[in-house]
Amino acid sequence: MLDNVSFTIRPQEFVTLVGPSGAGKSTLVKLLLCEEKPTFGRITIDGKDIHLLREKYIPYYRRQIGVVFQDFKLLPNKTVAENIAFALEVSGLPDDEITKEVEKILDLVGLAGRGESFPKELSGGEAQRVAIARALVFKPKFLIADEPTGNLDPKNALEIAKLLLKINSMGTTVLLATHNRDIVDLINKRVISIENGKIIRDRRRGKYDTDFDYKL
Amino acid sequence: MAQALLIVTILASLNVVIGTTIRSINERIDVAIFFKETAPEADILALKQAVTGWSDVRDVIYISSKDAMNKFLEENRNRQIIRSVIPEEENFLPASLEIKVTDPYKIESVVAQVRASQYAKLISETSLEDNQKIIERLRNVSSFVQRTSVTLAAVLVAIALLIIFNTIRITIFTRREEIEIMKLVGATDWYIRWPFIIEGMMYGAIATLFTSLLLAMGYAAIVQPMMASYLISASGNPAFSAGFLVFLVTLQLAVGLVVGGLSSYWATRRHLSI
Repeated sequence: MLDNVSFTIRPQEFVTLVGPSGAGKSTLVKLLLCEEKPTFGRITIDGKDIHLLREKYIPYYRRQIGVVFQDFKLLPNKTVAENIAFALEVSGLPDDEITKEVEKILDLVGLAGRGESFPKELSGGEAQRVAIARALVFKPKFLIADEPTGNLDPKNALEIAKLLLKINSMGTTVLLATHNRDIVDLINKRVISIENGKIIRDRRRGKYDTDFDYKL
Repeated sequence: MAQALLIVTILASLNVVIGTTIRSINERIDVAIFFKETAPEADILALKQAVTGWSDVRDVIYISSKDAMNKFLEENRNRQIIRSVIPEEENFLPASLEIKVTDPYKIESVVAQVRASQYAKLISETSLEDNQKIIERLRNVSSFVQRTSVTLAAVLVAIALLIIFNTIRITIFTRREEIEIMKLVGATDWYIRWPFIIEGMMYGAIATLFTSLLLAMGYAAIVQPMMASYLISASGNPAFSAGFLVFLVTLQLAVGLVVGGLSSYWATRRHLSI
């Protein structure tokens, strides 16, 4: 549950949303994806209130936002290339164009040539890259990553964080929700801290604050 | 679930077939009015004119005594014994009017009307007395069957609907992870829904096709011998022409597709959080 949360993200900004589990990070992500509606207040992207959208337009809105999750959410019965292509198929792009796009994206995330592997053959880090690749397939202006490193070992987590920074430097606004201290410290960009549904801190350049040590 | 659907569609189509048979039997229920030898043909034809105009009457056929004789000879052309007994010149068969009614329950009143008309004294007898009992029984059976068959059909369609609904529900549940990802990636509702609807339609189509096949076999084995009995004459009977069977099969197919499609559509509405 969120309580009176308000903030603005500028284009091409990299914002890290931190807080313990249950603080409200995932709820915020759901609100941004129109999976849930706010009981009060507005969410606007490029000045347009996204919750005024009619239900049938929500899929089109979602295609403009790239999302990455902790559990990757890949289709296990499809290859890496097919998983990425799937997002494009859903929008009706012709097949030959899809193949080209998929190749480019695989290259971008550092998985060139792995197109024919299946998700279960990949390491955690590789699987998350596929998920990121899929999220980028529509060249979104906005990328949301909800605990992307949750299932990854520290080394892979780092790689993903670097990939996100690279994507941000290419012009995509990034919102990263996480409770991984090391990642937040490494990224060293704007940090919004949430606890019990309230924003308690919003720093231009921040580290994961030590106030968050778990009080037992 | 395939077997249950099969049984349901078999029963439904048997239902339809029996219904059409009953209707064709109803149409065959008629009454013949026999006239005295002395009745002038002009008068009989006048009566025919009058009766044809009555609202309860579907059709009236005039059979002169000559026609009656020819028919009799034709039907018995292989029975030498009978033919040898018939004298060449005499015609002992009376002229008659065969009246077909729109509703089997109206027979008595039509006959009564004829008897009350100015031509009453021309009448020698009607076939009504002979056939009374048979007609009674036929009417009772046919109305009973018609009433139950409608309810039966409705129940069967409802069951088929539920079966398909449930099957699609299970499919949706099994594929829920894939569906969730589709939604995340921006698939529209119908893009997700269509495959399920088509799956439901396939179930409906296959079930009805299969039962049509069984029905066709049953028809050849059972109904054709039945057509030899005197109650149902094959000539001109619409229920059993090939064209009608084709119509029946297409109708069943259409119903199967619609029921399958509709019930799976409802399943997606209720169980896909779309």
